[in-house]
Amino acid sequence: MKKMFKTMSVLLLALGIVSIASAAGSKEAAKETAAAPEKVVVNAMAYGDNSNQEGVNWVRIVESFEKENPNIEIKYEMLYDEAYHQKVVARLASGDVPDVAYMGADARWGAPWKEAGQQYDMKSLIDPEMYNLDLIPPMGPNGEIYEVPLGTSNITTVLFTNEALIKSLGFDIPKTYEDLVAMVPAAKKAGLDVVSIDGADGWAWGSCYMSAIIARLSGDAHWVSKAVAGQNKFTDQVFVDSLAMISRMVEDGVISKKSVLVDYGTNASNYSNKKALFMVQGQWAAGGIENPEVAENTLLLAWPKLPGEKTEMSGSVAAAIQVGYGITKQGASDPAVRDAAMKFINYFYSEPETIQRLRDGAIIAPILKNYTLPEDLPIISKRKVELAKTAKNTDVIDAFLSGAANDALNAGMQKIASGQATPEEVAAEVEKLLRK
Amino acid sequence: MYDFKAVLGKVVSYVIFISWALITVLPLVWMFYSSFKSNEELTRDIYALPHDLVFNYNDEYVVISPSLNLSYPYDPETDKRPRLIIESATISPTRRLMVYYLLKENLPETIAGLKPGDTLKLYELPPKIRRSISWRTFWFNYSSSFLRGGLGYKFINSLVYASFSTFLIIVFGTMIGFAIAKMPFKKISAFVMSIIGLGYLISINSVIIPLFLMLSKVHLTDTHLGIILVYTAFGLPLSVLLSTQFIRDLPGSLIESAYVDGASTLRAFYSIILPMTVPVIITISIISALGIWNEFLLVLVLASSELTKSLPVGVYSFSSLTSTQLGWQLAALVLATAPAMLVYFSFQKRLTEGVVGGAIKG
Amino acid sequence: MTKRTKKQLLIYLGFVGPGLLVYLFIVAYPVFYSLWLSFTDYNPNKGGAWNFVGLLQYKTMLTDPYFYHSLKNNIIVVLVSVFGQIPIGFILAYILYRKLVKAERFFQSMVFLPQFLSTIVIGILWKRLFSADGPVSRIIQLVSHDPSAQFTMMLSPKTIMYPIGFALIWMYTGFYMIIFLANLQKMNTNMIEAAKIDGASETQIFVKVILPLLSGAIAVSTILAIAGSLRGFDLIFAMTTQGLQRNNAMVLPIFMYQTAFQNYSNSMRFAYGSAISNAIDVISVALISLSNLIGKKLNAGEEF
Repeated sequence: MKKMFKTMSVLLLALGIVSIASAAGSKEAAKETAAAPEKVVVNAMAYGDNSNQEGVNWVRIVESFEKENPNIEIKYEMLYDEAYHQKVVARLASGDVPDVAYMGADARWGAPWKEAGQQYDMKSLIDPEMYNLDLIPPMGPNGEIYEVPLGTSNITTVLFTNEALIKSLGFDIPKTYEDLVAMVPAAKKAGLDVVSIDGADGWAWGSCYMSAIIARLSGDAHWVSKAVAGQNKFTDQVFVDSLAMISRMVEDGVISKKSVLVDYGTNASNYSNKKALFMVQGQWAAGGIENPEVAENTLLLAWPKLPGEKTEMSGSVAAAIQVGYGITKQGASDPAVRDAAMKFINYFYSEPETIQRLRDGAIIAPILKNYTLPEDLPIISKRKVELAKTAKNTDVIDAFLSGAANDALNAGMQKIASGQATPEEVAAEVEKLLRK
Repeated sequence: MYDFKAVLGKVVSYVIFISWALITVLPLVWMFYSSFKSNEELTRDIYALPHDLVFNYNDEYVVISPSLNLSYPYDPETDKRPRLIIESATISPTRRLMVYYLLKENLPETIAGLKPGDTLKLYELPPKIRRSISWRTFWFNYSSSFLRGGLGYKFINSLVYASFSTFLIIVFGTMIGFAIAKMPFKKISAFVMSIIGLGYLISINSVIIPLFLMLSKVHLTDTHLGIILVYTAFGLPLSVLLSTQFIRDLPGSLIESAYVDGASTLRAFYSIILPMTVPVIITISIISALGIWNEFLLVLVLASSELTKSLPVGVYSFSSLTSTQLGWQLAALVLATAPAMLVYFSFQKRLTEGVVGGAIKG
Repeated sequence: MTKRTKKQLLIYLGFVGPGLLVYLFIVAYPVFYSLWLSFTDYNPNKGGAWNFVGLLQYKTMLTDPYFYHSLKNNIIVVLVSVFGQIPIGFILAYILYRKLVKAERFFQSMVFLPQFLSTIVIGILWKRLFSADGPVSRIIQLVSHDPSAQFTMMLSPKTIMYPIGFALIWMYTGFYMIIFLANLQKMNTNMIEAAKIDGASETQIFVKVILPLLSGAIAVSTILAIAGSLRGFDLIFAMTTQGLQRNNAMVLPIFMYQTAFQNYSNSMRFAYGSAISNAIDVISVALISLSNLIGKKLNAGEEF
């Protein structure tokens, strides 16, 4: 027994030492390159992961940028999802502020930077020859621009429509809500869902569903921002009615009761395996439709005409400012770093890279001034551009509503869908939490 | 009379244990064989046996042209040999997840001459290439979760955390235990003991916020050192308690003879005490290493980069960010459980005793 | 102080010092830090100034419906542990001890196995098993011949603790089983033999002889169960999706984690989170003392 213990501990220690040494070795190597004089070092926080396209692209872009600009070093830390948000907070808290970071202007992507006073107005740095300034929306109270959006406004309420599947059941593209209801019996018989939504994710209800409904029913594209500012109340009848649409859709069988158990991945694979006629998600989900045949047959639509909707908002979709890379106050404090950072950002947004992002389905349309759409762009991406051109844009809820009130709304909609709360109760709770 | 009650007791006992064993084994079996299924198969039928990744002889491949979103396994700058780039049209088509870069010099002319958009079947390729692709298709979920999820590195991280922290826990713990049990200064010892004993009530979870704030102040978040230090500190109470009890029970005469000569205290500790405390050291190592191996919250909060994440956190974040790739997730779960099960079944008796020993004496 | 004791003191400190320093810095100091933090509005991300705000965080906590909701769930978890895992573990241990089943080593290792698997991995696996159209739903569909049937217990706050309680029992019962088994095997069989000779029945032996002998093990198990359940984070975290589901199943540690590390819009998130984790500690000490008290009372009753 003694022997086993000894060998085991020696083995463990040896393994440990080897791995720490290799980790230290890679860090050491990184330091050596940094030691070369007169090099401008830009500290960046990148968004991505080895396992996704965003991450792979970032690494490749940095490598080729550094090759072309030997006097600039992009020192980055790449993280994804919750880990990214956590690290942002940790680094800001310890005063280790990056020069360039992936950020946004809303409650989730902008709040920590705003809280730390690290937002920096990039307006003077953005080249109007390269970027189409009309496509970059204002992000601060005085029209400040804190980051360069990856693309044009991010449509969050797309109704992905499997045209072939609908036709095979003997239906046409729905024009009204009643058309959707009419499909329910046939779909049920074929063992299909009508509209699939990833209801286990609270945010999907707010961003991908309710943001469209409230604008339709109120006839006001900015109902949500006005409500957060105090001009409307979430207890107003029109918002309660919008919430009641959820229970109506569940009762009509348009949205299935089990939705609240379906998460993001299951939703996408259900749709792409022809288990649902429609899918509700943001435009980015177009890239996640695995089955090429389904992707080809997919139309990107706005919700059809809903009962009680105001005509001025028919065909509208909700859209939010795209996130992207921005320079922090820290990064802007040193002109050399600031210019190097902007140079890198311009490289990152260059035409070929932007077109590639378009191809990957990551963005809707470039914010660049001059670009040519490639002929062989996947058809689903072309349809996306089409939707962006034609549909009227409305507020996305969580771009304005944040914290406890937003959480309560998202959870409240899940409760309504599963029959655990009434629209009135949810509306009252949101209003109460918001005004607290 | 045959004892009816005894029979009934036996039957009930068997029912309980057999169903318990089934509840334990069946999910693990399902997880294991499903990890060899493609995403589409998992959506189609959750119980069917793997097929697509296994029987891939007839798989169709599409020739694609080079583009920015391909990650080349060679350096396209220096290696200019002509290649045929093909992507599977069966497994995750058009996602650039299963792409092969075939050297044209190894291909028959009919295939080497194919243009982007053309298709070919796997069996049309030369046998050597076909076998290699077939094999890689079979392991698709595993190689993807291993490489893309970086699980190999995270596995090593977990080993580093468990081994280094356990080592320090034992060194510091037995040193303090020795001092308390066999040295004078009983009053100080009682005081030290009571402070450390209180630590038994505190878990990492209950002070995670101050830990995060403190460690970010001194830039120790997201470092191996920071995480090892925290594990070490929180492992000490158990280690000190167990080793003090154990060393106290060792024959005093043996140590005193060595201890009279003050200069060699360290050597006495090293050469006399430590070898005698091996049983308790094993107990401490098992409990500490096991706890650290499975710990989650500390690494979730402190580690954010791929370089410092441990296996549980890696598997968790991998499962949330690749949630569309169910097959990869299941493979990651298998990769994370298999080593633990291997260790468990090989050292079962020892491990069980260790855990019990710690719980009872503690 | 003589030169010799001085030297001895130095050696003593050399042995105690390193470990103690690490311990004081990383375990003891944060306890006070946490206490101090909960009375302020400190947020290093916001300039790092701190103001004394008195009991504000605790007041917020006591008016927060999520606090009571998490507390309720946490108490359910404690009850499942104390009145589920421990008795079941005891029964399993007893069956093994009385050798009522063959292949006892196999069964023992099966029940104990989950201990060695990462809680997170197990949590993710159970989440998969319980998901919409997942393996468990498929079984329900096959049995009920209704292709749209689902396992819906993970949906409602009223039922979500059942599948979670099930997973908790499956996960941790083995631990208590092994503790009881070890204690049973250690037990002096003479007393049982003596009782048998006196003509005592199985039940009498069990109640009068075996249970009292194991009271120590039961007490230790209870303390471990209470402390473990109040701090338990991993399994429920991994089994639920962020949003309604996790909120429905929320226990205090998850409430604390979400408050401090995910609610970026609350500038007092760290201070409020500390107040919650201090509350967890207070509750855990209170429950442990209570169970000790009850244990003593029961033991005292048995003296007669």
